[in-house]
Amino acid sequence: MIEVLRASPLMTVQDTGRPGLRHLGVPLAGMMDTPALMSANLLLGNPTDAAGLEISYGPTWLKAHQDLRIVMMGADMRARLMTPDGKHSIRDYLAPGFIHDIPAGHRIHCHAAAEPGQRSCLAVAGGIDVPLIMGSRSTDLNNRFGGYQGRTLRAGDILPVAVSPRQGNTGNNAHGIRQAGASMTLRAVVGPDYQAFTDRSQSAFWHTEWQVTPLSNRMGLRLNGERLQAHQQIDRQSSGVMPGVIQIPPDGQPIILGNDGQTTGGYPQFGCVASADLWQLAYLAPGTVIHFMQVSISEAQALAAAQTLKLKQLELWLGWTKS
Amino acid sequence: MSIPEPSISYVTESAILLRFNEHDHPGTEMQPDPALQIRICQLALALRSHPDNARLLQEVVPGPGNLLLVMHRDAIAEQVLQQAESLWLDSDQPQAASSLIEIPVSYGGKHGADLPQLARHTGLDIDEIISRHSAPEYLVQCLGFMAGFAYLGGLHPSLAIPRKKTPAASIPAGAVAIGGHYTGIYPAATPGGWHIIGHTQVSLFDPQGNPPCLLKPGDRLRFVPVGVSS
Repeated sequence: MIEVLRASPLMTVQDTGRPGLRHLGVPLAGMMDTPALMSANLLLGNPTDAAGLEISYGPTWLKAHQDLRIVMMGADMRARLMTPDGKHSIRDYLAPGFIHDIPAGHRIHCHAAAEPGQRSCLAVAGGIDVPLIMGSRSTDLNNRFGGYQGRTLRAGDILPVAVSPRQGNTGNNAHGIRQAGASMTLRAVVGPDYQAFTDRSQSAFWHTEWQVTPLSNRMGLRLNGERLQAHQQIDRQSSGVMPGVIQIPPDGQPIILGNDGQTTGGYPQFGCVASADLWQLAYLAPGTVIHFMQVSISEAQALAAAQTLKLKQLELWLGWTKS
Repeated sequence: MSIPEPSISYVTESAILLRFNEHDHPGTEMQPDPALQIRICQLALALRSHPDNARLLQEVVPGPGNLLLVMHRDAIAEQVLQQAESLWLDSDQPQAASSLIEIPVSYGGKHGADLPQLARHTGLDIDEIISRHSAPEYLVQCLGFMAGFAYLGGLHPSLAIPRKKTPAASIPAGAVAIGGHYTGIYPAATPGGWHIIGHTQVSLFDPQGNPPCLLKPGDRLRFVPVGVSS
């Protein structure tokens, strides 16, 4: 078991999400940087969809009530291994992307991320063993179910850890995986309503800067920049949307839908972030300046295939190093 | 009635949006033809229950007059569209009626605080509003906004009222409300901009339930008045 001694704001249990239920109004949820969780799970010998913790900006203290093997990914929070009383550091730096053994009774201390709004991901051998609800262990904050009692974690919460199905990479903690760095350029495809926007707005979208505003969370990222305008008012029925969709509300300032975004939307759909770049949304802290780069549908498909292949290669490589 | 060919567009590299009423009534918040919407919901169900679905489609999400198909990464769009087209042609046949769900509602009073405002806006008295709201057989056009929230088509046009400019900070679970040309029931407490006219005890969404959602796209629904508070 892991006890939360101090939780960062919006710290939640997340796995790879709850796909297949959008027709019932149930959003995806899941770790914002899903590939990071999947890689960490592979390193630990977990199924790729085992649940971990999403830690957002802010210091965090955890206590191991059993021997744990963990991998941290995402924003580097300078995690340390601390003595049971929390007073002394035993290891000053638990490097991201490597397996660390946490003896029972000891504590993990994570500093704040370098920038507020950045997230990190803590995976544990066996996975966080909260109940599987509607096919997932992810916390759905809006609908208040899943994860740990359907809410953000706070001090005193005790999280069960499942027995590790197999020992991943046992005894060899020398191998690590690299966290991809967010590039601040999101590749995107044009959406169903792109043509309804003026040439100037189309061009501005790809060629000007966008700043992430503080009104951004797991539901969506709101951007600030040139006002995007349609030729005429677009009256469209709402339709199903998904994470990555770039909506343009009447104020002309784009919203990128996140993992907790609503399942249907009525605003014009200007475009969508390529699936292979969705993980980057986890690191776009308020104030960050980003750009969009246009890719075609087939380019975006190739990027997605390459991302899938990369995880497959990691799995094969880990199998290789084990034998 | 003839059903137009849908327009097909990519939402992202793994998702296709079919819009069946592209050129309908610009400038108004019109609802799709119920016959069209029933067919869209039937197509969605057929796609979801088709044996190939697990391999091809991750999500099939109906909207008013449209359908979103989210593919798995290795699925081929042409194949998905072919399957959708052949199932669409099959759905031309009359289908078995979907289930009719009755929702007991207690109208007005403290659980229907916006009923007097709706009366002022429409010029109808409260009894007439209740009678017009509980008369139709509504169609669950789609779900969205939150888990288990159904957009119900078929509201008497005289009961339409624009959404509130400033949403209420908290609407209780079970609130029966009108927003624009739609009526619906809030499954859980949430901020919201619709006008609350009544309350039901029925549970719309229970994540541990089987099924978790009382309503699904294509269901029919009727409100049954069980009490009126003034």
